[in-house]
Amino acid sequence: MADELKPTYRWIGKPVKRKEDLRLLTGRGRFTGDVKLLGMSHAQILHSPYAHARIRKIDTSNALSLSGVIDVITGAEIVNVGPPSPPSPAEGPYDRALRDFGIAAEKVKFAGEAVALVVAEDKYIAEDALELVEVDYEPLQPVLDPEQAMRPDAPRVHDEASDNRRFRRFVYGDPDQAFSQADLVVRSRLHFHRYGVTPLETFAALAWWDDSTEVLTLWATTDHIGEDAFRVAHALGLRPEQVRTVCQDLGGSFGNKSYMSHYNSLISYASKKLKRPVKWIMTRTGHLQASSHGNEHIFYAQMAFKKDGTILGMRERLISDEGCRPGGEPRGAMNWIRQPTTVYDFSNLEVEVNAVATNKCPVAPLRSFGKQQHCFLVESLIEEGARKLGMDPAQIRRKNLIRPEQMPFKNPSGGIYDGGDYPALLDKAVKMVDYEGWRARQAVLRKEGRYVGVGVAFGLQSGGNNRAQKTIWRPRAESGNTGSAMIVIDSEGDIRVSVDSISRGNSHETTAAQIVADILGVDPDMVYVSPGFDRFGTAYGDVASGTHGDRFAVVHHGALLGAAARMRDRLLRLGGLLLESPAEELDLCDGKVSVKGSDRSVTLRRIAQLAWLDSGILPQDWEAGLVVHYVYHAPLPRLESPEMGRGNFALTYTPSVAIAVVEVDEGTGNPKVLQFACAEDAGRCINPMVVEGQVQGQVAHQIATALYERHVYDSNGQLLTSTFKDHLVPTAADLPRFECGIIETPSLFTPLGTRGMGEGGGAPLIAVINAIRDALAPLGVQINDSHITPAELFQLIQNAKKEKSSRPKGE
Amino acid sequence: MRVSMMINGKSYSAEVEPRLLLVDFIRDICSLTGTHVGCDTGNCGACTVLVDGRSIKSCSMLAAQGDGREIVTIEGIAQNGQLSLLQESFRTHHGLQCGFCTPGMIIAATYLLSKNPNPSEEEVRQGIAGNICMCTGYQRIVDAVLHAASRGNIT
Repeated sequence: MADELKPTYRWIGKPVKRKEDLRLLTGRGRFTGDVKLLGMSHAQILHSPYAHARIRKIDTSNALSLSGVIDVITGAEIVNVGPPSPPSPAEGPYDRALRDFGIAAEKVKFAGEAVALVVAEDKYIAEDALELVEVDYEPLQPVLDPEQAMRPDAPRVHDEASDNRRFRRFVYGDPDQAFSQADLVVRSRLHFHRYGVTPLETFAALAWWDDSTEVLTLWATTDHIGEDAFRVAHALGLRPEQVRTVCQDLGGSFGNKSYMSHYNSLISYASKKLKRPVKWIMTRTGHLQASSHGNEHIFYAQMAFKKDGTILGMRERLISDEGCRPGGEPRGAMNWIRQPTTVYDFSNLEVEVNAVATNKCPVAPLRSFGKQQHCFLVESLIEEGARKLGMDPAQIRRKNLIRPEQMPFKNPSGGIYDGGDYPALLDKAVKMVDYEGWRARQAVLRKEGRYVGVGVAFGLQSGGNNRAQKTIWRPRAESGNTGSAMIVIDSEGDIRVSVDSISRGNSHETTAAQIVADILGVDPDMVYVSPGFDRFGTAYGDVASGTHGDRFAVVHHGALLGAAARMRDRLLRLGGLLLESPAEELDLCDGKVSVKGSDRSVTLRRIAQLAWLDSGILPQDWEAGLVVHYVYHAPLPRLESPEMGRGNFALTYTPSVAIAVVEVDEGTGNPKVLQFACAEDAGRCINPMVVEGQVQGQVAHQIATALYERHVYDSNGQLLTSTFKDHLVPTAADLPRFECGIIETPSLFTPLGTRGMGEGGGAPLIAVINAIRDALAPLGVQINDSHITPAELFQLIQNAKKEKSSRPKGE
Repeated sequence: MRVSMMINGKSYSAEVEPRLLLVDFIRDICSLTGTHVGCDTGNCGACTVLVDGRSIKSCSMLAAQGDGREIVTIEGIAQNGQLSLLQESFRTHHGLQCGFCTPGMIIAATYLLSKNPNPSEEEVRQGIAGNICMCTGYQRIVDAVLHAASRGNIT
């Protein structure tokens, strides 16, 4: 359907310049930290220096006596408002019902956890006062290694839990039989490292309790701007309709800003208590320590192959280090279930999930949440299989890919892939880097003693956000979610659009305008899209309102399309009244309703005037005004049996292929990216410039994940990487030039054929690691980690050389 | 202490604590919130401004050190509502996504081109290496700067 519509689109598919740019380029953006209110006070958080310690006593008297300090709030105070700790890992109520203020009351569970909130007349005084808060800690043994944390004698992170571990096992097909028929079984222990996504804007919140209306307004840097209204309301004992969450410009997120509701509740509590606006901007060190980190995974895994490279099955024992704040479902440890075999056609597998609590920063989404880890596992096993079977890495992948004629393909857990041509995508990437040419050059370079490798990797990013996946662990959780859009045409014909979403650099204002402009037959410049989100102003949406899991490309496009189509019908009907013609004889374009094949027309302005101001001549039973609100729900099939790990838990499945050429310097271990290409099937692109920008960002981000970004805790649970000097993010001078190729196979299920994109499923990261593996294969070096530094590579090279020279000749 | 300076051609004067950072003077006292803060360690460059024509990270300088100087922030780059050539080039090359790093990036690149009007790609990458962007992967920023340079006088 989408394809047939394409020729009629005038704006969809065009690289329209962004609406957001004019304010952002001239310093007129409004980020949360930029908002100022009369009588505003400033808050700072005191972070725990211990990873695991009991709080014996907190003495705030010295801090309170400092001139300019308004209040010091501790966990002990909040206990009286409601229990401050998250639910026990075993069973939790709905996430949003929690009374969670993110501040420790009795014990701290990670280094960086909030122990006190100082509110002062300015932020300098607040920082001074932090040093005057005296906390008496009783240090406890921290639980840091997730494998040791699973032992029965391990100290417990959560006192109320019987165990540090949550466990489930899922079986699909017949893995025992698959492995019994294998010609080759590869076995690996793999580690996917912990890192933080670091949007350049940290967390910030500004809460204002208005005693007059009894409404709390909360500006916050949160992706889950709808859910946070509910969470804050529950925490403070308010009704959700008393909480107005607002965010105009969001300075990046990449998933990092998904869970900050506990901080929002804390700042809101302070404002309600003090009856003053309270503003808090997290420091970068605070953010690196205590915002969220990505999932650290350990895999014990096996893959079974036939001699010809056919994959027969996989077994996996996943140990997911989820830090110290358990989600309703193990965060990031279940996202594999949407795509257990990723882009490959095999049906037998067994997955054991161990979600383990540790005394580390909580985990939360980041680009390709849980999917990049799973793709890293699958791609690493295939890489090893190819090496053992003597097959070309691109060839073994091609052999096992799901073919376009199998679409829509149902994977073993019930995920239904929404189309795409995976082999064509691989062909595109192979051409982009001249894969065969590099293989030939590699052979020559190897003879010269140079270590050049070519790495291929597929990623799959399941998105379109169906929150129903939560029902696997919590049967009472919601089974889906919606997206909302509102279109208003005022009495002068001006068009205003709003969506219950928030853009974190994703250009929603621009693409929303393109969609509406196409349906209403106007120029996108004529469509004003409200920037950001205001719970009391923008389209009213459900608890999932905000941006996460590629929602915009699915539910918000659907909502915009639905609202615009309704508005179009209204305009045609009203235009017909003025032109005395039936709607089917009318056209809507160039800002006018006109009678087909004639020069009779009427402007939107005149129609809007009729709808709003001339109700005297409107038929009695017609609705006046021009306001349309549309709530879209995605056409997801009914879940099969989530308790068994079966169901379609996403709407779009976006494949990416990355190919990296990397040379490792033998003398220093330094890996240099010589060439890099990434091809992604983004479905229909509303704005190809925007899509390519998102994909470029993903590529850079994941090259950086492999080579730069990593969080390191010491043996006491201290984060050693708590500034940008230690948690390295690449600069323009560090990254190579790379090429991105987008193909557009329309999604079979979304209204415009769009897909979630710009996450990559880890393909760029894995391609870099595979290239390094390939480069060092002649030395027999094994790399089992998703991150590697020059120093580590140098050591691996040295060890391999020693081993080689000590081996008897002829072996 | 009293501190006075010209920012974007306008004079500002205030009684401040000696420890006040220049970036806080600009943001909180002058309400010029286009200059951002992204870290505490001088790494990210979101707070970059021009001080007497040189690009400076305003989180690493005291307001007192700005006394008597001429400062240009992102709000002073566009003239009479007209984007500079560099700003326009960022727009056409999609050199920004979330826009948080953009003010510092524009200032750093403006400074680079004022010193070196015809930089190579490598020189552009080195020239903006004090500014972190997490969204774009830098490629389109580099292209935008190179394009602006190819169009000539950017200021």
